[in-house]
Amino acid sequence: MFKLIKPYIPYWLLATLVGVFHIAIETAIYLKISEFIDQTIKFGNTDGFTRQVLYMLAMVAVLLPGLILGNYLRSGFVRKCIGSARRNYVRRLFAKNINEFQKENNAAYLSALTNDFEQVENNFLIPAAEILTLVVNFAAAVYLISVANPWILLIAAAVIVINFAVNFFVSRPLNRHNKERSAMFSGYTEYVKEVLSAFHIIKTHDLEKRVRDNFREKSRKIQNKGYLINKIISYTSATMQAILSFSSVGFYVAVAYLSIKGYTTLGGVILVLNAIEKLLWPVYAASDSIPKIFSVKSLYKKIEDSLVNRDEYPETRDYPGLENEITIRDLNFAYGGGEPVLAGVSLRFRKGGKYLLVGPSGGGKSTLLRLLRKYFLPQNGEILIDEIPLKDIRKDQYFANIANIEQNVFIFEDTARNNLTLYKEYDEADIERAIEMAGLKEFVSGLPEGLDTVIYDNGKNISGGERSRIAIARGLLNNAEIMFLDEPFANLDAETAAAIEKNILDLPGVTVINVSHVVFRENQDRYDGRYLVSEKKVTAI
Amino acid sequence: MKELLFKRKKRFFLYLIACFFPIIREFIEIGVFGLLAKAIYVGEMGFFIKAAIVAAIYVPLTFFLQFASRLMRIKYMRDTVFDVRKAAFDNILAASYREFAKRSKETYISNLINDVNIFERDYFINLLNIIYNGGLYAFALIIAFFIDWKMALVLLAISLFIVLISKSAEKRTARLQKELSEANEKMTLNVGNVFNGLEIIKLNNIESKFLESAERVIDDVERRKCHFRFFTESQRNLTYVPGIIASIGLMLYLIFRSKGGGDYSLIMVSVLLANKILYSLPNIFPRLNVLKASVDIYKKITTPLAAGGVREKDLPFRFEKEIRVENLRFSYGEKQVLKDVSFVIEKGKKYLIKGASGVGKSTLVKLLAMTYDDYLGRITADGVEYRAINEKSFNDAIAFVYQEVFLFEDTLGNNIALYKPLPEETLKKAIDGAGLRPLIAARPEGVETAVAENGKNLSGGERQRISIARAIAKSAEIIFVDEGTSALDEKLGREIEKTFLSLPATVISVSHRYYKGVSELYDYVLEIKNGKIRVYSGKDYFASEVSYV
Repeated sequence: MFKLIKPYIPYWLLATLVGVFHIAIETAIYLKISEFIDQTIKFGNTDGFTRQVLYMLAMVAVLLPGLILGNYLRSGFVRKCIGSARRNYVRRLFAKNINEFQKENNAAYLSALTNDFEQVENNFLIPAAEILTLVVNFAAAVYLISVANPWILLIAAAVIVINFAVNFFVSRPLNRHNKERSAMFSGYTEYVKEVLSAFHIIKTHDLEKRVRDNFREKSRKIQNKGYLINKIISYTSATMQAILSFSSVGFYVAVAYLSIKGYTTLGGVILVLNAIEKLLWPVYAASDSIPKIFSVKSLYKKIEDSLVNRDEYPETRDYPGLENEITIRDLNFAYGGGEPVLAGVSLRFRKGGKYLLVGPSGGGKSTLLRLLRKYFLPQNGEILIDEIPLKDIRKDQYFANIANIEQNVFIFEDTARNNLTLYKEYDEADIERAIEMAGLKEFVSGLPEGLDTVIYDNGKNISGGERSRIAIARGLLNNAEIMFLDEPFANLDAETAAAIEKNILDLPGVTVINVSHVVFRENQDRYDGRYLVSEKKVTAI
Repeated sequence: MKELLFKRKKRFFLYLIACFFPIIREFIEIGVFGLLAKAIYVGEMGFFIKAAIVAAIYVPLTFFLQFASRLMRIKYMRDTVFDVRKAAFDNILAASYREFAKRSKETYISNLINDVNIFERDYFINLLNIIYNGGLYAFALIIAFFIDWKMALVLLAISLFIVLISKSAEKRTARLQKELSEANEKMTLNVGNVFNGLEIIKLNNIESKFLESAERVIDDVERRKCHFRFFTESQRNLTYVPGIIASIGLMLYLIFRSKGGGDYSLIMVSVLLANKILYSLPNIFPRLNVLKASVDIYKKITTPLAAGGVREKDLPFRFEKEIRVENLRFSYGEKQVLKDVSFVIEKGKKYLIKGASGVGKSTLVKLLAMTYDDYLGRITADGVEYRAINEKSFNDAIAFVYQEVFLFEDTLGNNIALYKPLPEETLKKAIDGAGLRPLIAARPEGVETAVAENGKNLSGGERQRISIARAIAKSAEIIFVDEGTSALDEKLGREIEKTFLSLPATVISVSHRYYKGVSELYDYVLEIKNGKIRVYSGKDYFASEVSYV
């Protein structure tokens, strides 16, 4: 976790320096006051009062810029650290292999980026930014108090220890109750969710009164539990208040005693009273921050672990281009130690051939596609591109030579053109042709600025059918020698889909592997091979 | 809001009194410190011991004051928040389903749980603090005036100055916070979308562009956050400094005035009072804002959800022959979902609604179930316009089977009958018709078997069968099924589908599943495409140019 801060330590030091300077001024001010008080009392002397006041005003005038400067530097420090940490996180997520990335829900990554890093920021970085300032404040307070009378330090220490002991013993039951409370609430929330889901049933079956009574019971229970907890908290809170009062009053009593006994002057007393804040606040702040820092440590480790690519297989070969065929030989595959999804599968896809893979959901056809795209490596058997094992081929080169048409279409805020070309260079004529073959002409002519129209909101308003056609246009434009299709026609009506399928089947020289559960009778004989993927096996149909 | 607070008048006044206890404690403490200061001045042990005794009495007193104050408050808070929960829930329950369906479920959950919690957390604590700070300020100022009116005036001026600084920054602070929250939303959307598309991005080797844009959005958020933090902290710094000047100045002034011979207790008390005067007022204003916000939340969750025009709807629902849809047009927001659609639902027949996702299948069901009524065209049941039919009589004749089944923590019997008194015969028919007999026979308590919290002790298939049994027990004439078998495996789904097709009622079902040999038995398939509906016979639809594997 220290790595977060390392590059920005100069900022941190600078901020601390400013803080030290600031404390020095405050210390000087307090000492001056103390002096002035004792002088006036001893000598009844009010000469130079005005001079003293002006002198002090001058010092105070320096305080404000000092504070603001320190603030500026500290905020800057935190910003640089957390900004770089977040950017780094996203960078490393991008570096993960596709299958590793997909192991977690996207929501989990997003939550880490927002919530987890917020915790790191609030519970580690911000306290870290202030820590030296706290230490300096503490040191200054110790100095000031010892000027008045060193024995007072001991009394102050006793006060701190007592307060901590009490806080410690009081916080345990409090934590337990808070845990109970949140468990109670998650049950209550579940119940509310269920009731809302059944709203229609409640209305159509005339169950309102019963549900209302039911809800009241549950709410009453929750409020009562909260009340019980609050009652207990009353004891602890009152105790804490008493201890707090005891500390501050006791402290004053002790200081007053010392003053009466002549161990310190009135000026000294005022000095101590001013300085005691400075002594206590850093201690409380530190005791607050230290457990937070520890809690964040394990969180940070969890984040770090999630970014590591687990299966790193050394890819040594360049992609040679497809001359003959893609071979699948004796393939066995299971997800993470579970039941095998595919067993002993052998297939051959000839270059330029068109192949159809059908099968029930969960039968393994999507898995086969993932293996063909190098998301996973088979446990047994192999996939070969012209006798070269796919697992040895460099991913980025392989990817550059395959086209993918998938169900979940990613649309981003940029021109329609860039959404189609995916930032690669193509001739306008090729783009037009792809649009035509994918049935996108109507959509494009409906755009106010044609292909240069910017698509906002990540294409929220684009219908499912249009998204599918965009995916298809992308695939056609790509002009790769291998094309993988994953349920491309799910959102299209039969006529459009059959027409597009025909266009794809017409592509010369492209090896097409289409995974689908919709078969169009008019096109089915144009496939060079049709296979059923089901019950771990692949059979020709 | 007032009605809520005054509902328990006596307890509310006790609550207010309880809020003053901490103020009392503060002033007693100031008195104790003043006494100690005097002891230093007097300089003799006798007086000191008296002062110490007073201090010793004060400490346990604080325990009782704090304890009593809390006890007087928490009961009132518990009961008031309970009222809020009830009011929020009743509010939602009172809405028609049509009104209810206009918002997402998440909104209601937020209202019932998060909003009530926020209210509970924010309202009372801030009320207490406002009274506390306000009381401290007022009483401290009054006492200060009695001590030295010149000093009090200066303190008053400075305290108002400090408040001015805080208030002048309010607008900017709110704006910065809003911009920060918007930037955060934008980042979440952008990065979320990129994550969704990362697979495609990687497959196309275009990572760098998206990485750049993600980094940029993140940076924007960080910049705004830094700015916001710096601004709020600077504001605090600005109010800190006049405070210090005032405290120091006051001390010097008092000492100077007394020329070293004054009564220390007065000096000590004045300094402590000054502290209270300068720092309590600024505390009030932000808290007032939070208080107002929580009152707004209360108002939001207890305002009735739109009444809408009360139409003349009192004709009874009759369905002997058909439900006829003529020239139906319906738009959902900007999107036109149904464009001039006409078809007929014959009594007793089984209908399957098909179409791509998002095309409007659920919308069609909602229209046929009288959930939406802002359509154009005609929907009639045996010649009577839907718009003229009494909703209750319609609801009594229909039933729904959803993917999710809500079960009460009660007996199986009650979950099927849904608390209506059912003759034995009817219950028996429902159990048999839904295929629940084996389940009931297998349990020793039969129909009296308890269903655990939301049916956790039942399988998906069993829950679905209970849902069907409900529909049969109700003798529903029309059963609407929305993805009733989607959560079940192939074999079980097929069984349940067969059950639907065997019922005497008119069944209108939305399903994307295909069960070979069973799905063909639907009398009709209504296929929605591009806002139009084509009617097929079940047999024809599944034998068409497209086959499904």
